[in-house]
Amino acid sequence: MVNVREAAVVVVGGGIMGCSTAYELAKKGQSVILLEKGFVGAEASGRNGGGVRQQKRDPAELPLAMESVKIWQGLQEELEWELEYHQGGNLHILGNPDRYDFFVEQLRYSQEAGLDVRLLSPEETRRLLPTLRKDLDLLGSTFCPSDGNANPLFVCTAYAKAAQQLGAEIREHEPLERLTVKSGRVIAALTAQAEYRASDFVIAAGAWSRPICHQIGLDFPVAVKRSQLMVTEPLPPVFTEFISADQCSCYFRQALSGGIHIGIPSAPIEDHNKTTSYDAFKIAGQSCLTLFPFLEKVSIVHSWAGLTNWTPDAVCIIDKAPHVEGFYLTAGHSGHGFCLGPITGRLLAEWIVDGTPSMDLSAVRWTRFNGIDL
Amino acid sequence: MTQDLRIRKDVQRGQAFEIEVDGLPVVAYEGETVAAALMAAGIRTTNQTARGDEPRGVCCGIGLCYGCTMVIDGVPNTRTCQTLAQPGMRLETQKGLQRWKVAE
Repeated sequence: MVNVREAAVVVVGGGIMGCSTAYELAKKGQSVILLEKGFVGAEASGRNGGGVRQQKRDPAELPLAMESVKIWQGLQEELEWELEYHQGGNLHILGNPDRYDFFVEQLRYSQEAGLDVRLLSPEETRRLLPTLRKDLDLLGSTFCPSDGNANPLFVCTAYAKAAQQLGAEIREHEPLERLTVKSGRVIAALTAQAEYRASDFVIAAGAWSRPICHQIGLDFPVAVKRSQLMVTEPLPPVFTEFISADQCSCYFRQALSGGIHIGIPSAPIEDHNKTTSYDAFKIAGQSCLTLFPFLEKVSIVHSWAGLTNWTPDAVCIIDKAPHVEGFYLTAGHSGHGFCLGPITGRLLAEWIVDGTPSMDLSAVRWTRFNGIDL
Repeated sequence: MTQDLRIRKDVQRGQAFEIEVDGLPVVAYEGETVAAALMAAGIRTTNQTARGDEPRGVCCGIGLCYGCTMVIDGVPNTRTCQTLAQPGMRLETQKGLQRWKVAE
């Protein structure tokens, strides 16, 4: 005897995309059931570098990031949760003459879109970051003051709790087994516990999204990559900016508790392996010293890894399935989806409930990959 | 003078010497970690948290949790459970994040 449950919408995935979608749907009075294979925020959404960034975005994602930051600004009050969100700025240090024009062009179209983003001289950059290596060759930096960072550990939980208070059901440790399609429409999601029937299904399963799409005969090209992070012992405030650089493979953010989170670039991985690699940390540690010599005497106290899913153009997908009704997908965030979580949930909720999202999503369509193999 | 909670019977110890904890002398023996000497002296608080000023002390004892950190000879965040006591060592209860020289 199968236990059958019904809701207006079933969301698969308890990351920032799934949780914000569940919350926004519940806010619109919809009955929502969210299925999460582990616990809320267990994967990339809880394991990322915490950057909430608008600068250096592809033109396709830039308007979404800018709208999302507007939501981020009021999110702590809205969800009634201290998310450690602060707009300390995002700084990218320029040091590669071959990539200089590329960044200047990014700056140009971002400014044109209305983003306050500035080109800083080497002197201005050093004034902002006095801890920078004295003899570092730099051409300047791009700086977006309204960018910021937040604590990834809190955001999904905050969304999930707020959604629950509005009546959404968050079902953790309940992995999706399969979707049932009938007459060109997804009608149910099956887990070991129950069959969940709904009119609409949102797949927001990050690195696990592609196999779910395969179940209903759809595909989109994504590669799974592993990102790693290491955290230093707590230090007094060193910088408020989220920092990246041409000269260094890592990125940096100092959490409010004092630890500097050092992100190590993503590398492709065959299985869903989330173990960390000491060799990668050794290389990254050396690379960090090219920017910040003070780190040499600082201990690493903690590390972890997470899985991200990357599209060929490193731009996300927010779309309905082309051939199947009632099936929405948001995936392929290519390592920078954290910022987009709030706006994605809102747009999907609008699309499902009102019939159309309030922003143009044609640049993040699924079908742009037709004919692309990975 | 602080107390001495060490086991007396059937234990061979090395040379005894003094270390300084917040200005007060504490006895340590060769081969003991700072954490061991502190526990033997009945000192349980090694630092206070940056947010909330809450007391922290030895928790895991194996270098993982960073609960037992102190300022040792001027260096904050030093794990007392991983540091061998040395004659004349100066320890301070760490208050929050303390001072670091990061900007040279």
